[in-house]
Amino acid sequence: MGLNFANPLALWALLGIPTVILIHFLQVRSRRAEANTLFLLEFLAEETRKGAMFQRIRNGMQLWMQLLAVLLITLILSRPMWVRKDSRQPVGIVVDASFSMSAFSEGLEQELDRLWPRLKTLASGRDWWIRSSALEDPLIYRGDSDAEARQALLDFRPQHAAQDPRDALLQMREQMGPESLILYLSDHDGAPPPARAQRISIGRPLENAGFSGIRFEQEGDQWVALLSLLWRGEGAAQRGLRLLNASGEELLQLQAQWSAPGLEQLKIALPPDLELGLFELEGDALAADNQLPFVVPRLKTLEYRIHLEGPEKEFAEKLMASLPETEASLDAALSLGPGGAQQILFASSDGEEAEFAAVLAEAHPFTEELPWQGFLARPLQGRQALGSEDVLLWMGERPLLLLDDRLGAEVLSTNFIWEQSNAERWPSMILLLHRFLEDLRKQAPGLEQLNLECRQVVNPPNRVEGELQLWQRSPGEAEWQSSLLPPGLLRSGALPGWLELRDDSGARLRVASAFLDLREGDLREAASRSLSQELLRDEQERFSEQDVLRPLWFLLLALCLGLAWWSGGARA
Amino acid sequence: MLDSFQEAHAQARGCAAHLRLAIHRQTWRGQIGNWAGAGTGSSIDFQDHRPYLPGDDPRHIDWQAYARSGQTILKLYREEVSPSVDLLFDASESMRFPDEKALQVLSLLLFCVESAQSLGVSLRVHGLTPEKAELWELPQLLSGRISWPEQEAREEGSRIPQLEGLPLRHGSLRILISDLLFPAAEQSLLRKLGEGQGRVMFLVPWHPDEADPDWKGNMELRDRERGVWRRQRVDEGILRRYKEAYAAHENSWRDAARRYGAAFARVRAGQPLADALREEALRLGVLEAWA
Repeated sequence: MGLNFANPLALWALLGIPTVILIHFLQVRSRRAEANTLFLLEFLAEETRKGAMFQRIRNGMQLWMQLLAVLLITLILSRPMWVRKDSRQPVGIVVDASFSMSAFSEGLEQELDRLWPRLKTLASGRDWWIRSSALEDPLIYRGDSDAEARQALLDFRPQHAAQDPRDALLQMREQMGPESLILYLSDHDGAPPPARAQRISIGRPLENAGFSGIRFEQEGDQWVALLSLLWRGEGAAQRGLRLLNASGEELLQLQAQWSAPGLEQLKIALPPDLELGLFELEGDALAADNQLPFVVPRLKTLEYRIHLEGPEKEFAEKLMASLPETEASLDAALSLGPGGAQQILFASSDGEEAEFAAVLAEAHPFTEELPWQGFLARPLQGRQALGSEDVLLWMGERPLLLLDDRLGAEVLSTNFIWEQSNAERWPSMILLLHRFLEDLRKQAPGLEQLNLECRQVVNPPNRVEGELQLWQRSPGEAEWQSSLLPPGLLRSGALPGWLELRDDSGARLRVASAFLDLREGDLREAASRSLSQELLRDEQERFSEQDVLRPLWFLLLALCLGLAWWSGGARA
Repeated sequence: MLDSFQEAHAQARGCAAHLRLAIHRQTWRGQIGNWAGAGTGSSIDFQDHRPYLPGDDPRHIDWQAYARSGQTILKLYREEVSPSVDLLFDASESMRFPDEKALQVLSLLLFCVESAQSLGVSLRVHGLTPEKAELWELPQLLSGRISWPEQEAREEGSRIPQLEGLPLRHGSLRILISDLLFPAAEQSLLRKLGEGQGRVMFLVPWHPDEADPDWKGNMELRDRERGVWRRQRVDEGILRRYKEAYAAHENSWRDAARRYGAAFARVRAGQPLADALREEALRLGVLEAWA
């Protein structure tokens, strides 16, 4: 059984030992005198001449009793406890999975060096359950090995934007039970985490410079990158900046300068024929925002034709003009109005309108998170959904908006008089139309290149030839690497890099993912915080047995004090 | 001499007015003087009769005895001599510490000188240190012009007063004023002092602190004569053993003095000389009261 102290601060009372000895030394300090008769003391020469001071201490019963009393007082105050042999402590750790944690790997190791020995003294064994604050991440470690748990924490690489650990902590508490010790490992201090978890912070305030955004403009035949760079520190700063191609070859070298903390913009003309590139900033603690992979944006052209009259035609022209890379063409597949394989059909204005009722949106990617309360349109009577049509919007029992998404023939139909509705001014309707048109753009043949942030949802092209394949590439890699297409939503990479979706016809979508999380890059508020001693003591008591000899120590203390008093009095 | 010479001299003279060295109780040999000698002489004190032998001075024939008995009887008278006193003064460092003892020592020395002079004896004063013995002139001594030099502390060497080469007179009274605080050398010292039919008298000044020191606990003690420091833990046991050693040292000298027929009296320091002399010297007959 290991020995612990419920009140280790009481061990400072051991300083009483040197204090008592010092007092005795002062008490036994020599007195000086002259004498004529020292020759009469010759017989004592070997017996007591040297070390008189130590001899007195050695022989002083009072001193020994006082020293013993100090030891006993220390023992009583420090409340020794013995860890039970069969005790097992469940310890759950939720690790902040945000990128900023990667700047403090050294702090993590130091904290673990402090924490692990302390945890080991609390119970004979531990059942570890370590997970990321991002629920989608796999479990980091589960087992009973202290060393493996520690190594798993050190090996963990946070790859998320700012995370709210609430759900992960609540889940951990539910899984581990009310008695377990749950720790939240972060790099910032703040309010106590939920689920009675204890916060451990490994951060410290750091300066950081990083990319905060990129935009592209075309000047003539040349692409120009507008870089946003953020400096979070004190005073002015300067960092080296390089432009590399995807293989890591340097194309350009310049300086990023800030006269004060904040945002600076740089306008950099890109070399012709550069499709994939990488901006790299001189390194600091947070590496993720020092690299900005990019692709020169390339949208597929959306060709269209308009077969409408009156207000609908006017609206259709405005709509298409608001989208990038659109082109009117007589033989376009997309027709606004009747005609093409892909159509946006507006209902005839001579139909009989039904009464107003509540608008209800069906669950569909086009209607997702769009509000419709306040959308004013009366459905036409008599229009029912055909077998191949899905109703996107209902008013009462009548359809307002219908979608026929048969392969190769996508038709969006309205069932209200456009002119008499507020659809043109209703943002949800405009957004829905944009989503529909962008969806059609994706189905168009050709390559599309996008710049996204890390872990952003990537919409793959809808209509592909053959099987869709995923390829990825990290900065500095010469070749694309094939990857498995994940089930469910496809997201851009967790770390800066590129991905490419290919079908049998070739590359269909190329995405550059960059770390541009403004919150995560600000390390000035990072802080450190260790586990409170009170909590550790409480945990210790749970897995320990109290000292059964405590009454005996009190008795001995009383005896010592009595003897010290008696011996002091006798000498006096 | 000490600054307190005048005070010491006053005390000595005061004592000498009432007390004196008990010289008359003994018979003396020596030059013609005022004191009854051991032999026959020309004093008026009748001593004995004996038959007239040729060569005797016919003026000493007791004619009245001759008339009564027809025998020529010679009338003998006591010899009158002047005794010699050699006053030996131990001038070692221990005699001057503490100041009370130094004052008493000086008073005692001057008392002996005054007393001897009032008795009309032939007096010589010798200052003794472990290194040498020197003759002190009386006028200078009595006027305070004899120096009692401070001696350098010596870690090594004898602590016994130097008697070698000391011109002690035959048959003289040798009065040794010393605290006798040196490792036991009774036999050799008494033998030396007794040479030449000398009589020996010890006047031993002492201080109560020597007999019962206030040492307690851890002490750093400095030997006055050797100058060395000694760290010494003193508890009840050690103090008791010290006192036993001190008493044994004193008794050893007393016994030796008794065996050699020497007078021995201690003179306590820290009180008036008269009181100190009455305490033991007078009681033991080393001094006598007069006037």
